[in-house]
Amino acid sequence: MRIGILVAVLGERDAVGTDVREMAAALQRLGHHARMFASASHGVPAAEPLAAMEELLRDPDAVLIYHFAFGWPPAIDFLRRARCRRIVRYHNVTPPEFFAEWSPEYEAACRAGRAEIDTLAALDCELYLGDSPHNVDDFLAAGVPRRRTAVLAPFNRLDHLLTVPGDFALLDAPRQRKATWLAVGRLAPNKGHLDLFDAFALYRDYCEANARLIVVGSRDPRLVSYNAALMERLCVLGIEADVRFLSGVGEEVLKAAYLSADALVSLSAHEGFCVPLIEAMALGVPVIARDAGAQAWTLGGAGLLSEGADPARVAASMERVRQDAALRDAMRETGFARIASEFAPGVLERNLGDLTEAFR
Amino acid sequence: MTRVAIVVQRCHESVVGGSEALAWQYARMLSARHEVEVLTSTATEHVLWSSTLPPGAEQREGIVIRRFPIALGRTPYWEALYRRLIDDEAAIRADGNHWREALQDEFIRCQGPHCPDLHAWLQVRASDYDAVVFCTYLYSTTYFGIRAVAPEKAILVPTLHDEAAACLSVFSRLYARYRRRIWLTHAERRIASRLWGCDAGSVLGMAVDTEPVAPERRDRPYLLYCGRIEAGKGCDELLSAFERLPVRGRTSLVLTGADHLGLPRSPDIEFLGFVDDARKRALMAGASAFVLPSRFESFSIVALEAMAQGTPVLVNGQSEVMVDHIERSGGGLHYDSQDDMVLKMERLCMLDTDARARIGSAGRDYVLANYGEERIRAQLEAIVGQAISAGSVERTGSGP
Amino acid sequence: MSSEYKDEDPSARIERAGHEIRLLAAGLRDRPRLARTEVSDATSTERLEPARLAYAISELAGTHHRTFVEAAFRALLKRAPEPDETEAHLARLTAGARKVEILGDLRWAPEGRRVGVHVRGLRARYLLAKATRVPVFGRLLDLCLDVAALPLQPRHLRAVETTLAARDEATQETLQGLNARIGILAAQVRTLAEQAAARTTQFTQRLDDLHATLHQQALALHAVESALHTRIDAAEKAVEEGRHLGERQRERLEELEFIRQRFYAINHWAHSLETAFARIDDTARTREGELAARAATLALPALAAEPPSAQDQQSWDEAFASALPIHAGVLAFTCGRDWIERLARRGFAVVHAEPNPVLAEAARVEGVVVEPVDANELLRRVPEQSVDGISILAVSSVVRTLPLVDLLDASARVLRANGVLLLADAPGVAALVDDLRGLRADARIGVLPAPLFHAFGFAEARRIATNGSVAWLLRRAAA
Repeated sequence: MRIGILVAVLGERDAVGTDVREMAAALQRLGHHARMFASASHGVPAAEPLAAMEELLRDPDAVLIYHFAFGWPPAIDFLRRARCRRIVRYHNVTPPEFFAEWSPEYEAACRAGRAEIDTLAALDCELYLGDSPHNVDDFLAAGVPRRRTAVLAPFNRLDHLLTVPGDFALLDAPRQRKATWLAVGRLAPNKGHLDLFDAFALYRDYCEANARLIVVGSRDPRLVSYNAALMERLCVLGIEADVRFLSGVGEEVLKAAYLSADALVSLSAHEGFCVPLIEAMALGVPVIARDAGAQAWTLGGAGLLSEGADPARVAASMERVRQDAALRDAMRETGFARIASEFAPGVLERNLGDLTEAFR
Repeated sequence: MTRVAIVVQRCHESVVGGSEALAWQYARMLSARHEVEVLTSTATEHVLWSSTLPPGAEQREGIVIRRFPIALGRTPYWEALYRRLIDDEAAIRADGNHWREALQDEFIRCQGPHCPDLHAWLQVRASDYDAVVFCTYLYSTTYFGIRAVAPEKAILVPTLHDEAAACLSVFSRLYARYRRRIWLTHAERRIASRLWGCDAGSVLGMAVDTEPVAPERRDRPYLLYCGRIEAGKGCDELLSAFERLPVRGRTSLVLTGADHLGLPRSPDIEFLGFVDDARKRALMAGASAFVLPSRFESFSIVALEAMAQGTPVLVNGQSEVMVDHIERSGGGLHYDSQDDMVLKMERLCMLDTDARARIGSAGRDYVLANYGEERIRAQLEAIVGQAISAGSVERTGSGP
Repeated sequence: MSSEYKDEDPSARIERAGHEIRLLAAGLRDRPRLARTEVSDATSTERLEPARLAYAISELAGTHHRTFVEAAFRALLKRAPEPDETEAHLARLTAGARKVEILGDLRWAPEGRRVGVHVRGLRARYLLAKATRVPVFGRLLDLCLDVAALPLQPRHLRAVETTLAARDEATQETLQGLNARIGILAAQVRTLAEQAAARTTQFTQRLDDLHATLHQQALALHAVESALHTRIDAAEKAVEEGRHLGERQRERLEELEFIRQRFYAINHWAHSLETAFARIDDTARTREGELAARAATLALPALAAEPPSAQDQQSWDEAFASALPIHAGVLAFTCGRDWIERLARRGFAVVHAEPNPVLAEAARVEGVVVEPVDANELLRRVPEQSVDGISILAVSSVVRTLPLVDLLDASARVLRANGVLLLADAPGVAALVDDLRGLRADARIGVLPAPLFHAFGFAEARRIATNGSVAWLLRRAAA
């Protein structure tokens, strides 16, 4: 079967780019003829230009899978006039209210993106495929019948992460024996870094004085006031010397960060799936997370959840993880089982195969 | 027919290794009554885990050998991790959690052979097997594969040594859940009790060939050594002691195997190189005593083979495993110093026929009672049978 | 750990821990605050976070000499100083320059202004320091400041003496500590040497394993060699047999070569023929296009001078519009500007298909999408059940290229449930253009029985007869 995968921009190392590339590779292995199309492409393999997609759009036997992660009006036009079967693969758009006090531009972009949910729902596509049940809920709320929805976790490169060597400069860094918090994810208002700093400061004041926090994630130069607010919070809490930022790092440093951590702490207020959670579970790192968005579903009971981001609750969770070996064991084993049964590449490929069978 | 899988890091006729030999022996024994599959890697060597065999299934002696590709062999990265493990050995022995669990996993994974396809195979098909035997606690194939199998139907053969890696807490915590264990020796079981805080399981070992053969007669009575000839095996001590042996003029020292030490030229020392199994047993049967100076023995099938031929054995008292064999059998002596070695060698050389026969017979009885093929097979079948029954109850909620 | 929980299910353990943590969190802030016991492993220069834009003067002036210069550059200019810059500022300090002066010079240099760091208390003190540089007045001011500071000098001197003495003691302690550390390191080196010896033994053992492996493989190779010799003999025999076979095959190859050459010649001739036909097709299409444009150019002014009756269109318009919802999506084929304007005025979302560029331009109305394709092509593109209404005013023009049965099928496919199709065959610009081109067909919709349309999925078929023109209003069945 001819299958086209459409995305606005094919990134090199982001979650959507990984899902697109690995999905294309999985479809090829399943015997389909899969091609990727984008308006811009970074990294390899590259996507083809949009003009090359016209012939596929006209073929009623072909399938187009559109990866929807932010507003992009040309996609609406393609889907509207396509004669082929259409699947909307939804990665979630951050609600605009998270950016209200930080960036009018981002707020407007998110609002426009969220509006496209209704437009896409009205196009009556053959399937709406979410990364998680949380994502699917957005389309159910827009009126898509449940029988036209399905959940397929994003494709990942966990196998590769497991075999990449860790960077020794980080593994051998000073204070290796002290409590080490880890946060992974870009610095954005919905990711909860301000709450994270509050919780870390409390932990440092009442649980372990010489703890450290490693924050892996890129800083967006367009979020000037938010970045300044983060720095100011560090100074006010007096923890700037205990927080290390790692930005634009390679896989070796990321791996070393996970191996150095006592727990991954994810206080994000909105997530459609949260890839760092499965990276942590695959590497056997305990997870402390906020019960928001899809995080509870992704963890599947493997992590310690807190409603809201109460700093005391998060700090107490880290203290307990550090002290209770049996608890760590339980979290790790539950995480390994969750990965093996739900997110291993072979499992995702099988699930994708089942979904595409229905289109033959 | 019931299906049993055996997971081991290597499996090929060219492979020389203790746990690999054990795994194959168990596979052959079980194949009489079960459909046996060996799940293994594509490696034949254990230094870098290079993939030299093609992935896929083949049959040998009616046993399916299913090989899985290696995603991660040993690299300089693992060497660096291993150096850090040795540097931290004292701290790890004091506290198994000295390294964070994720880093411990990383060490084990990089130690290899890391075969994600084997783990995925077990994840999907563990329910197709009625029992799964995992050989060698240390390697990735066991550590990551065993999680896919319910504890009721998994059998662990740790082949545990007292070494730094064994003190990592992830091993003791994971394997505490898998209570069906087979120990090679009582000494290994004691090591497990000390390092892992758990020693449940059965002491079984391997089957030893007990068929008596006609002894090889040589010009003079002789002491015998079989195996790698090098300092790590205590052969330098053996030569020193033989040099000082008062009866040296009337007794030879015969050695077989590969010489990595550089044996001195002497009319009393006879080096025969590699010999086949039949001649080895004949030499054992004809020897005044079989000497095993090595400190690091996990089972020592060669000493048991000598005892099976009714030959007294002399072993190093620093090997807990060998001292156990001697004290339980009465089939020989152990020494605790170089001087003691000379004395005990002389004593064995001077034994009269009756005394030699008494000691030799005690040793042979011990091997027959504990390591005869039928006994090992029956015990192994019993352990596997229990696992199969337990797995069946878990599946159906009632008896088979 | 309590034995009660020893064999606890992992999920239960995690859940239980969650409850216990909730209780623990409630009392966390009641604990005594912890004192920091370790100095941060960041040096003074590393604490000055590159993104930080606000400092107190005491943070920057609290260090000395080279550390002070480096810290000042990193804080105020967000970069490390060049070696010559460091030396220049150290020279200034040695010459007695005040730290606030150096800080101010950096802050208010062009580079410092661009970075824009705020240092609380610096401006006033910098201005004062600069004032002391003014000839005469500055000297007097400096003198006054020094006199004002005189009472503090003895105290300052005593503090300096005490600090130096303390540093001397600290240095001695450090030296003693270093000696002790050297002793420990020496012991560690000895331990390492022992460990290395043990490792060497292990490596030697591994080498021995390799030797044994190699020996086994040498034996295996020997066996393979013997097998190879046997195979080589068999292969040589096979080669001899193959030689005879080769002779016969060579003759066959020559025949095939002859056939291949003939095939290429025929292929080339066929390609030339295809090219010629394509040229003829192109010419015909171009000619057709010119004819169609010319016919349209003639027909439009003629009809403008003598327009057909608008009464037909009026009644069709009313019947069609009343059957459609508000803001309906409508396709229009073979109709003129008047009809398009009617539909647009009613607020419908209209797509007009008109392959003739002259007619398309003449019928262009604001807000209406024009597709330069014929009805057949547009109906193929439109997704199923996506349109509320279709109007065709000169169905005879359409059936020239799309037979009526296919037209009705395609219309039923794209119409939503309860959608309507208006079929008419009125005189108009499309019909006149066809006449001029000699392409006129007759769909004879006037003689069609109403039940015929049910077979195509139209539940209702209403005939609208006006002055000589016949039209049908067909309603698609509900889902």
